[in-house]
Amino acid sequence: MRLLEYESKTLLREMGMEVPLGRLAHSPEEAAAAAKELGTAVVLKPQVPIGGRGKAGGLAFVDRETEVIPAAERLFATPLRGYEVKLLLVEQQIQARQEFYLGITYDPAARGPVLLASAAGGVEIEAMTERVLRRPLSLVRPWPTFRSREVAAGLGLTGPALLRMTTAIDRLVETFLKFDALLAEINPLMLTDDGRLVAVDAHIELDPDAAFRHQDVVARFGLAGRGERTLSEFERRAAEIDQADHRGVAGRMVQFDGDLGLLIGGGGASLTVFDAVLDAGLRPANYCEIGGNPSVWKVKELTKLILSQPQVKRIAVIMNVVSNTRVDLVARGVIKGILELGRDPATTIAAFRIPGSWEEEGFALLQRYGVPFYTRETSMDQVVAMIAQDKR
Amino acid sequence: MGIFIKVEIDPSLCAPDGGRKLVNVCPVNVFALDQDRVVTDAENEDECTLCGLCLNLYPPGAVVVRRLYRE
Repeated sequence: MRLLEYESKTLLREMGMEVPLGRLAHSPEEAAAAAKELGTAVVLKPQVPIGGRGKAGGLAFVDRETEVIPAAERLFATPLRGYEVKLLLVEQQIQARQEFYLGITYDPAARGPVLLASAAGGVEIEAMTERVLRRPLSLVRPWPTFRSREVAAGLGLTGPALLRMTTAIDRLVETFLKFDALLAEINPLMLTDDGRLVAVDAHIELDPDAAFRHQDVVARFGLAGRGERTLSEFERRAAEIDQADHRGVAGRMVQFDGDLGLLIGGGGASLTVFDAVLDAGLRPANYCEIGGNPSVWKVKELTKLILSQPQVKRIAVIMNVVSNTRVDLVARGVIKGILELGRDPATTIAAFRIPGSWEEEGFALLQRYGVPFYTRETSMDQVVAMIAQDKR
Repeated sequence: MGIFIKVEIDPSLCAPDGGRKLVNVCPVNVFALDQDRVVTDAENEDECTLCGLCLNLYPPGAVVVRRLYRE
């Protein structure tokens, strides 16, 4: 669950981190009133769940009161990477002597959280891995302050600035752990001329699996359901097909914009196939899982749905060796769907590779319709490579 | 009508009930009652799993399951 910037900053402020003075605005007029109240040069920041707003032209630095309304009108009228702007954070501008990056996230290789820090805060932090300090931290043992001091010293700080950075790092660690965050990031953390450290932008993501432990935060920010992907009409139809027949699974579908339809087995095999498809330079039209012995009707309807996309010319049917799904029933469904669309299975099926239960029956059926099929002697990757070479 | 599977019933061989047991035994509802007559449901013929349960209820020839793609 990704928190918006102002929500992240609210948590950080409550944990003892300094953030710029700011107000929320739902309209240009509210933005003007907020700027007047703050009484200084302000920055207008759309509250949308994406990073890189500055590079996308989504921030407005305003020095004069008269400029606030036009700038806010422009921001409200300009979607940012598809997100409609409904809320602005109006904040005091902060002048920095130096900008830092502080972040805590999970390191899949280390299987634990890791603190990242850099003396070169800014929008391009991902590209500066060699200038980033990394320190693993424990979810069980307390984070000792001397580690924060080490990091602060590693950033080149001394004196009062070192002490303030030490506190800032401690606060960020406490925030990350207290809220079961998956990511807690401050970028930039600005050191001002008068020696303050101010979290000018922040990004916190909470673990949805731990949301039950933070119902107050969920309720406070209205996080329930946030970030859940809205199904496309295509995906909704696939789910309807799946729900219409209890037999098997055939409908976990995600739509893409490629031209190769995929009907693939669930779990790791489908990911393997999907990777192979991408590696081979093919463009998948969808991700989809079938398994658990779906009915012929279900496979037929799913096949028709996949092929209903105008750009989809062919469909690949690939699974690992199956034991609880029948090859012949899947073959029947795919061929029947194609025939009902008035198309030729031999040219519409790019490859059929499902070895396993009732394969002889399935292969006889495929052979009858001239469909290229592969047995377990041909790996899934090899089949995908052959599809890529097939210029039909 | 099934594209892959064709199920044929000979009611004269399905004594004494005319094949009514077929309706209950088929796991994918290939058979249905039409008035008092047992018929095949064309929509479901292709769902036939070739389990053979219908073949064992009545004497040989009462029910024939044809795999059209093998013919």
